[in-house]
Amino acid sequence: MLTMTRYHLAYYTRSYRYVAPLIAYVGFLLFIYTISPNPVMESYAFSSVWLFVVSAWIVWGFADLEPEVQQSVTALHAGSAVAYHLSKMLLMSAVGMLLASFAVLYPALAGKLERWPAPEEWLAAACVHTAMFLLGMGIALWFTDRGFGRTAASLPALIGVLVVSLASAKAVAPLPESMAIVRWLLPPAGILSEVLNKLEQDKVWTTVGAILYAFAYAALLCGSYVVGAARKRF
Amino acid sequence: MNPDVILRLEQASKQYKGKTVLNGVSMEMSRGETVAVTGPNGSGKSTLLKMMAGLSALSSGKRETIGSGEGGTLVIGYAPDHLPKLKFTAREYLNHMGAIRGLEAAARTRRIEELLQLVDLRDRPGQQMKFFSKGMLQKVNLLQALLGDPELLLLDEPIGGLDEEAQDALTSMLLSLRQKGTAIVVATHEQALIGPWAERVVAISDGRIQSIAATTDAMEGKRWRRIVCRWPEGREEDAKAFASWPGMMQYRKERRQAVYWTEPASSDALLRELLEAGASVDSVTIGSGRMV
Repeated sequence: MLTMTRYHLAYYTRSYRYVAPLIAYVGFLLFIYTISPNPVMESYAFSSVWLFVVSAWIVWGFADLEPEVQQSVTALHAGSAVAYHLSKMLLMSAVGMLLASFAVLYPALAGKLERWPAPEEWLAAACVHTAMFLLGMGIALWFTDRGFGRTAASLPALIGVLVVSLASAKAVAPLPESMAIVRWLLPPAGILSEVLNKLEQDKVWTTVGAILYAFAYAALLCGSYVVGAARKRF
Repeated sequence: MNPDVILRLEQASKQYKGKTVLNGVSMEMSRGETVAVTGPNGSGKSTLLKMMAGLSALSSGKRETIGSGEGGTLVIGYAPDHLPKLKFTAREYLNHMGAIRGLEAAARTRRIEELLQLVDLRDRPGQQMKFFSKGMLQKVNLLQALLGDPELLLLDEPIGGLDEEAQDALTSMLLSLRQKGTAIVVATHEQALIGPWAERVVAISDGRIQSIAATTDAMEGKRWRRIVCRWPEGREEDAKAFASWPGMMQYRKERRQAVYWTEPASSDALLRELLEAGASVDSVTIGSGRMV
């Protein structure tokens, strides 16, 4: 698995596909932190939303990068289509962890926040950023060749899903109260960003529950993608 | 399964976007056996190879393999009809593929150098594959398929872009692999490649196997039994399924008759099975050499 991940990393870095999303991600965060001091959890909520969008961008650009004919060769050497897709996700997850670390550590270490975050704030920020990356990855994977298939409508549809996920509260607002549960069926990106904004007011189990739900949701998206993609083969 | 058989496809079919690409293909591969798959463009040759490699999921039917890899897996080498222009040097690329296959670093480097010498790649130091000619890419393509000492080698149109010298090298490489016991399947429409090494030629058209025949070279002096029989209306698939019977040398459909050429040792069992399956036997002929 690691040898395959190393190969994907070499393939990805030589493609330069990472340049635009990386510059956009880091550049925008540096830009918004030019003004300081910033409120701790609101800043983390904002950067987690930005990470959600950028993660979808990165994964959407990476998933179909290797030509299909080479994918079949690589998978045959690996001996398993599941291992092939998992290795790609492993690499993307590692990239996500780096980006999440930057978003969480940079503003605190560079003195851009109004105060030093408390331990539970560090923990919540790290978990939410990671979950946001995984959610963005899980959604983006479904809009690639081995998901629903890549067509002219894939990118607009992906953007639409990202927007609805982030604005899920507004999206379900017109529905009757009894159908409020529908919000939990949508990818819980909006719910996660609220978790950070309302960390002080919410009970611990509400925060933990929302984060665990987001991880489970992302795992379901990624897991079902791997199973489906492996079944389709090459 | 016959102990020599390493791969068996049984009534394998593949539908893609509502179109039938392969329809009810039955085929067996034994150790050291060499088969050429011929047919026009779009006939299903590449899909058949991908199916044999396990890279294409079957819409229906069965694929069975038995090999000497870890846990009885079959070690397969597969070269598609072309390799894309990648931003790796040949050595980097082969090194990655070898590592993914699980070859140890030292053994991998040795094997790569051995293989590169074999095909005389003539690349410049540091030259990436995106700057390779079609023939150079094809050589790297063949090498990656040979990295893990495969038991079954699947080559899709392997001589495309190769110069004459490289074609000769490929033919002799296939012959030496056959001697080592590697089973080889080559999808090709180049008759030149079939003659010297293929034992069987599987002709495929519109996703169906039209005939399975032993090549003339392979038949030199060989004894055979020819069984001519009739199948009841609508049993064409059953008739064709017997083409992969152990010891079958050739199968042909002639109007309402199915004609099977088989090794003498298998003929009694084949006759019995044909009769039990509902076929009516018209004649049995003994012969040797060219199958008529």
